Amino acid sequence: MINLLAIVVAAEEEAPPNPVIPVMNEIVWAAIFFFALWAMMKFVLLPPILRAMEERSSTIQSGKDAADAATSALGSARRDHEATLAEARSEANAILAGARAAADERRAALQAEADTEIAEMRRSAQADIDQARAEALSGMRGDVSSLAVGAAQIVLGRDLDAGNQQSVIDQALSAD
Amino acid sequence: MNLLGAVKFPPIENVIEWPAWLFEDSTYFAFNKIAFIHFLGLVIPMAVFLLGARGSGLVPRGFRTVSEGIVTFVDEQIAKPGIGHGREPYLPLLVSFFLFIFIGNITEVIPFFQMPANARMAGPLVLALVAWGMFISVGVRHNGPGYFKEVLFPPGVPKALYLLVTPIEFLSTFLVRPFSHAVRLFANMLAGHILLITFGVLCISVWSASALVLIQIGTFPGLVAFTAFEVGVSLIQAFVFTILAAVYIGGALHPAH
Repeated sequence: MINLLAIVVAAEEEAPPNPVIPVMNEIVWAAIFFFALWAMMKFVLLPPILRAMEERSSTIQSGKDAADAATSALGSARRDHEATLAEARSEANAILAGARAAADERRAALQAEADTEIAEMRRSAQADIDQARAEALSGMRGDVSSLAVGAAQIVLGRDLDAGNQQSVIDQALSAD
Repeated sequence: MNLLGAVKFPPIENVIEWPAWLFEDSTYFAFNKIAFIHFLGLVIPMAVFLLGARGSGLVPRGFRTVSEGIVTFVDEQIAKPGIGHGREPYLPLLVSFFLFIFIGNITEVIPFFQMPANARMAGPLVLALVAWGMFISVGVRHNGPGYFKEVLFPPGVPKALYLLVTPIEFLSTFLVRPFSHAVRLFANMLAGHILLITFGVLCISVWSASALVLIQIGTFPGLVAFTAFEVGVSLIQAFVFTILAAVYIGGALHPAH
């Protein structure tokens, strides 16, 4: 029995070590270094990194919010601008319509004034023409009488009384 | 073991037994290469985050970008889907898990280290026990002793089935879970490490055996490809372990879901 036990012990001593069985010194060091890393990570290493990430995230978020607010303000300003523009446009249209109406009125007044003036001028010119015509006819009548009497004297071969013939000549000229 | 005449694989003890650099080999504080890698798992995140905390300004630069990137990744990709609402208090633990594991894994492909600390069972076991203790304490803190009732007697199950379901839930949640959590990480990293050793040994052996030099055409690209693959595995295993821890905590925080 003792011999058998000695053989088993000897066999165990000669057998290669089992890779699955952990060795104590490696467990101790692994535990020390891992717990040290965990503690450092929890209290020293991770907090500043997480804080920086959080700060960046909040900076980006606030920037985003500011951009959203600016976009909203831009939209509001654009709406205001468009409303102002529409108001100005409508005011301009009203002014334009008023100006157009005033211009039309003024044009009509000027037209009427010009028409009156033209009519007056036409009347005056007609009067001048009539007077000139009358004067011309009067002048022409004397010349025509003397020419006609002269021509009649030549044709008849005797002197004619210009006074007596005047009424015949006037009658002939009036027949025109 | 000799293979193909020239290939000599190192004994498994080379991956398992690490002599102490500080203190006696047999003591609890024997400081070896694995402990040094765990030490880097503490120092490197500290340096990155402390340098990152010095940066200022709206736009992050340098180490600030790295540290914020890590925090955002863990929060968005791990804590949010795993825990959801009320995840903020657990972010330091999850970030610590992720970085400690990733650094413990990535040393697998870094020259002069070329050993993942998580290919040893100690580190994964410590981390899995922390996750286990955390999710149980979270469950009890937020739901009182009723947490155990919620887990062991899931609502909606016919009463007769509790005979079957309750022992299974007890075993899977409270006993097996920390070990499966630890072994998943440990086994993946050990397997990856052995794979890289295999290809590395093949490359060396084939290079020294001129008759087999043509095989080098296959083995060396294989070594490069698996090294790249192990970089991905390091990241994925850190992610998987951390998200599982988050899911366990989330399950304890909101057991009804």
